Amino acid sequence: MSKAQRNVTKNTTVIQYIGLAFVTFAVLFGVQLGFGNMLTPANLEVMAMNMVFEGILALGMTFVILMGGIDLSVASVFAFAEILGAKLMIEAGLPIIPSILITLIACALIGALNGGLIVLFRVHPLIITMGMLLTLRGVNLAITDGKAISGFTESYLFLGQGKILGLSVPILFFLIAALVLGVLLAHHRFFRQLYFIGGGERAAALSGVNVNRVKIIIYTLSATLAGCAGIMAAARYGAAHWGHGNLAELKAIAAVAIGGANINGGSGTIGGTVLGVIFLAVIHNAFVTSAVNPFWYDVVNGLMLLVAVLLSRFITLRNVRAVLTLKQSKIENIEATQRT
Amino acid sequence: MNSLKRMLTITTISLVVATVIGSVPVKAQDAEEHYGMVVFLRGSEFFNWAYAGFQDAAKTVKATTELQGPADWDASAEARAVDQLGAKGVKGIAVTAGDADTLVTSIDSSIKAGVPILTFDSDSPKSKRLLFVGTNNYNAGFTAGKAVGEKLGDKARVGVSLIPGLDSITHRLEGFKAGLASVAPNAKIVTTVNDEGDLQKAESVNTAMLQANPDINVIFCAHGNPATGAYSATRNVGRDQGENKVNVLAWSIDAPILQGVEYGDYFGTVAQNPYMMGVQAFWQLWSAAHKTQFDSMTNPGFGHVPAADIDTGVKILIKGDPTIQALLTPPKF
Repeated sequence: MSKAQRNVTKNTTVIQYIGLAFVTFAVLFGVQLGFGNMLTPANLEVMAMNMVFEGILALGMTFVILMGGIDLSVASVFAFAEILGAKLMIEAGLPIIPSILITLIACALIGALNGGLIVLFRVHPLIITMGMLLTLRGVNLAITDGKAISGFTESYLFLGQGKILGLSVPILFFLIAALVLGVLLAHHRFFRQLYFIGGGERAAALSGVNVNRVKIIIYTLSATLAGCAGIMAAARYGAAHWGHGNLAELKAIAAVAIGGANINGGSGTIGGTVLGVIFLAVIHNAFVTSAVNPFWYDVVNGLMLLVAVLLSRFITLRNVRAVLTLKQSKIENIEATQRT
Repeated sequence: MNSLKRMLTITTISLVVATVIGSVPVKAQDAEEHYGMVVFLRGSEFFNWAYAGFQDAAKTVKATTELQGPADWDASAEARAVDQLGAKGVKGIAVTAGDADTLVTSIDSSIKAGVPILTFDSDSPKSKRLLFVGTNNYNAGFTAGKAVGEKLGDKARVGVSLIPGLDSITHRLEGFKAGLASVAPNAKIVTTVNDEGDLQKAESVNTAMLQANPDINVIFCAHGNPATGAYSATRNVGRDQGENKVNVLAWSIDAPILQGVEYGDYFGTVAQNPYMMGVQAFWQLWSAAHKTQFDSMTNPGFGHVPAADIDTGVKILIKGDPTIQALLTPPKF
């Protein structure tokens, strides 16, 4: 991609982010002016906590979507991590750190299995991860008999309820993870390959990218992040339950799409996803603060998702047109030079 | 130029969104007192009835209310809704616990912040909630068992459709056994099946149960979901009418079940009283939110509420009961 082409894409992306941030702030301040209570410290913390676990799932989902995939299994991996961690700590009596490590390894293996099956059988990731979602949900129900597991130690509860530097641990985790993953995505060669794969898998493979390896690693990363979220959620609520995080996968996908990522792969950033997460958290909180019937929340979310996807599609088409125009003008310039 | 146009468009949309949301007239801002109710399965008839009672009771003292919570069975989303209402500064919160343990942290935080909170319909007994308002499951099961015993006497052979492991259902079953034995000591509970709370599953497991145990003449549905599946199972084995009819006792006040009772498809249904749960939940919250001359002994810092739970009771609705018609027009929000 030439510098001019890159500039076209970069400008439209920046405008999209500014627009989303502007809408978010407009809603935030609009509701504050209309109803008050929106910008109180207590409400801001509640607002941040409200989407933080879906936000962590969305970070992993960003990588998956960037390379043209989808991971529907994250919500059941999230609940599985809660339950496995709880069983290891409460029922098996293992200390906290080994329990967390075993849980994260188990989640990573589930992700690797997702990636392995997608690569091995060349089946659409939607099918494989949906299968995993349903299977794990059944496992979660079966191993708990539908009951919650509680009785964690205070030191474990700190992971969900504690604060470091005035910030809740899950929020701090989300911010650090977003920062690290954002930098890696922007600058690290391995993660830059995701854009290449998302833009065209065959072309990426022909260019020497080990597509299969990348896919397995990214699905593993997505499931591991879901595991981290699950561990902190169990500590937050003081209980592990199969129903926790129900439909969280859809909220994570919505955050990524609203954040400007192309759902077909090839474009998107962690920064955009963070904006998408903040937008969803603000909208949800605005409904509670304004006491508008919460049934409309899903309507607004759905509409925003549609607008984001259509806008993304529109921008992609404009980019393609702009790139073609650039190419055409270059060809004309070369022809003009040859004529002279 | 195009970028500028786009920015202008986005700005306009943003302002419209902000204006619309910011200008919605909400009574909560004008009222002195505002109370919140948090449910799971938001939109279900049962909780709509509870909220109607909550709202109607609030109106009598010119207080306002709002209903929050997820449309699915996600207790963690309920916990977040409780946190949000607390941060909003409501005067009191009534919550039905989708999972007893998951709500503990949020309920305790609410109490710590001085916001009165109680549970209704589904309890969170390990939390510091002020009290529980709802059906005493043992008593309700006892009433159901007694009704079956009175209808079929010692000939009653019962199959139970349930979800194993849930405390509420276990208590109902214990009560049912005691109630049945109190009027028909030779009646028997033949077997129980796990319907997993799913309609289709209920149909298949109840069909299998009836095929394996032809002596069963009553199916007791120990919770709200399986009744339609259980009735379909009686049809599948050709025992939905006639002398060999299997009597299905439902546990629901949803419209299809009530209509089924009126049509004679079901022997009856165990009707809880969610409207009264809402009314009582509001009054207890109101009382807790208004301190009187002497501080509460059991809940210092709050107004006076009973230390014991409030049982709102059940009624067995059978064909022709006028309550059925009243329940067939549920409130909508």
